[in-house]
Amino acid sequence: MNDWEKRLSGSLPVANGFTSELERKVRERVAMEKKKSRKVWLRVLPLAAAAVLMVGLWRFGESRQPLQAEGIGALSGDAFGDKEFTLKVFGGGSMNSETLKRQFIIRHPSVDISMSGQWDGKGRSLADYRNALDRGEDVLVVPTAIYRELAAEGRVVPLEPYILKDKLDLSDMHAPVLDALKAIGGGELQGLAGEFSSSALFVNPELFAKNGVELPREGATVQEILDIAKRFEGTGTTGLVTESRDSGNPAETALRLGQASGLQLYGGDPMLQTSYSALSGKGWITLFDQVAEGFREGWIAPSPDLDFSGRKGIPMSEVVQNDLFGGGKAAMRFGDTSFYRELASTEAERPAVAGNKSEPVKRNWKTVSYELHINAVNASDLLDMSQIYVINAKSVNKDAAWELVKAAVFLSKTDKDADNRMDLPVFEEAMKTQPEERWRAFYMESGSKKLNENSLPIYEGADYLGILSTEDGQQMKRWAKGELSSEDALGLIDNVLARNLLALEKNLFREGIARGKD
Amino acid sequence: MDFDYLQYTAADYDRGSVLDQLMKAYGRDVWNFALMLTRNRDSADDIAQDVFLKVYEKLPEFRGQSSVKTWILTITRHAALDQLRSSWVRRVMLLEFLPGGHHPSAEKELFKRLQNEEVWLAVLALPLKLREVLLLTCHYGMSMEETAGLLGVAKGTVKSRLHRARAAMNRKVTASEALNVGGEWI
Repeated sequence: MNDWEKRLSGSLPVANGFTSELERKVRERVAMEKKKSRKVWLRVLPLAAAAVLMVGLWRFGESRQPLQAEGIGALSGDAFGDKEFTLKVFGGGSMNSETLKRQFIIRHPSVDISMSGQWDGKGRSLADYRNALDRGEDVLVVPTAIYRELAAEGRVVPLEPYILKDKLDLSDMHAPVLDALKAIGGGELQGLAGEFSSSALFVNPELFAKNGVELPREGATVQEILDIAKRFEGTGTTGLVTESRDSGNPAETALRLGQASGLQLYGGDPMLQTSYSALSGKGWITLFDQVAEGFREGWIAPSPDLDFSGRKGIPMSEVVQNDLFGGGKAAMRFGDTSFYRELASTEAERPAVAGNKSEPVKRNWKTVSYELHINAVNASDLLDMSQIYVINAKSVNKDAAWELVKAAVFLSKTDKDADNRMDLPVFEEAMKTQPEERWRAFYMESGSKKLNENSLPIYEGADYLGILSTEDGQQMKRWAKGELSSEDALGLIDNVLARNLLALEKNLFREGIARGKD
Repeated sequence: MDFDYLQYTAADYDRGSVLDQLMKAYGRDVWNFALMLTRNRDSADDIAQDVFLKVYEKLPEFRGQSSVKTWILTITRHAALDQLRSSWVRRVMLLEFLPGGHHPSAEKELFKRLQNEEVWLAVLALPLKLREVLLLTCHYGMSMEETAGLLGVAKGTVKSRLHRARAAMNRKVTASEALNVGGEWI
């Protein structure tokens, strides 16, 4: 080899002409090519981002300082800054979608968000969600039973690798929610939720003090609570008011209390078409006897029906005031997070709607945790996540989808609109601005809040199993009056349950969900 | 960096991320090759951008027909030839490249540096067909087969051009060394 050939095999004696500026220009041209129609937008991107940021800062207000700092920081290191694409989101509610979009665009101004399939009064079927996945929607917002199914079908992405990669600390998230999401996801965390719904015991300390009855302890059993309720007999104060009103079925309360205390409604798994009614046995009979006694003796009672009297609607304040607990006439009531919101919202000064202004009502109440066994069946009745964010396994924008999921989940830490929603944030710290004694019970773990294979949510399970007490209403009223034995009442409900389980299994098979025999 | 995985990637991989890696790995090669073909810094800038834009567009179609480097240099060559064929370049670049000729300031600086590397200057003075063969084999280390594939010519043609290029280089370098006895470039 000649000397000149050796020199030619070395480096060209000039500085690297492919500068970072050229790299930047390439990325910019890639983005422009991808969406030529938005060239103008891309040119003004820095200005637009700054404008959005300014608007965002203004909207979030002083209480969002940490988020603002994060947004500014994120802008300078936006992982998607050199790309321009639309992230497609399907499902979920509409209440926080604008806030979510606003928060996301501050961090990633080059990413557009398209939302569809949001709650419009109609339920979404499994087929709707499957179609959305097929269409290539990046993020789906799904209820628990759909989450279970999509996870089982392997159509959504396990999130733990992303969490590990980002070193995301979820230790301050309500642990039972994470556990449930993992259990429902087949042992893998395949979705995240920002809110959850659970159950607590609402108590009126003033009525307890007035009647010389001790408040139930934290983590009290259902049996202890019934015993305490009985002590209000003959005091003029209802010990325990039921969630269903006067025209409702009194057996519903007994069924809910039975499940909360760990009694099984059914055995087997409808998904495997092996389910059977378990609504019998001494435990159920004893509980039904005790509840029927409470109805007869008046220490358990329903609230009066709402009086619409030709009106199309009733203000929430009236609904709550009409409730025996809300109206200060009952010492205790089981309730979920939506009841918490109803009580809390009617105590706050709220603007008039269509000229009707609800006067705020101050009440004396707090919540107490009770021993809750959600590992029996119908766990969704006692711990539920109605909006679980999952990432489509077919998404071409998985990293961005993950950023959106994170934003959605952490939105519950800061969202000012949270007071308007029925569920509670998975981050307890988000509740700190509210009186702690009123919400703490929802975040306490008592009994078993871990799901097992028998307590996983069933697709359309609520449609078949949640309406057991709507039939035989008159017969159940006879039971509450002592005119029908608990064995007979349970027998009637058992017939409905057996029939509904069969119908449920058939439906699951028809939907292509059941994985057992035909 | 080994980019062989590109031929096996699914359709939904992150092209933007791959592009970043490719620019880091081959950006300099692309720009240098473009510069040596066009002998114009601005053209090299434009071509390098065009090349990586094309790479981004064609990534899903890349299935290992050649090495990634060969593929990218092929795109670079095509872009450079397109550039040279354009009317503006014809008008400006038809002048034979000569040291000390009239060049914009950026080029002056560039060629000032090259003056101290008479070998590279000699390469730049070669006709395009000989220059590209010499660069691909001697500088980019490609085999005869790879070079033939990249240029779209027979292996024998590559051999022939390479022989002529070597002969020209020997003449030029020898002459240059003779001229440089006095230590100054004329």
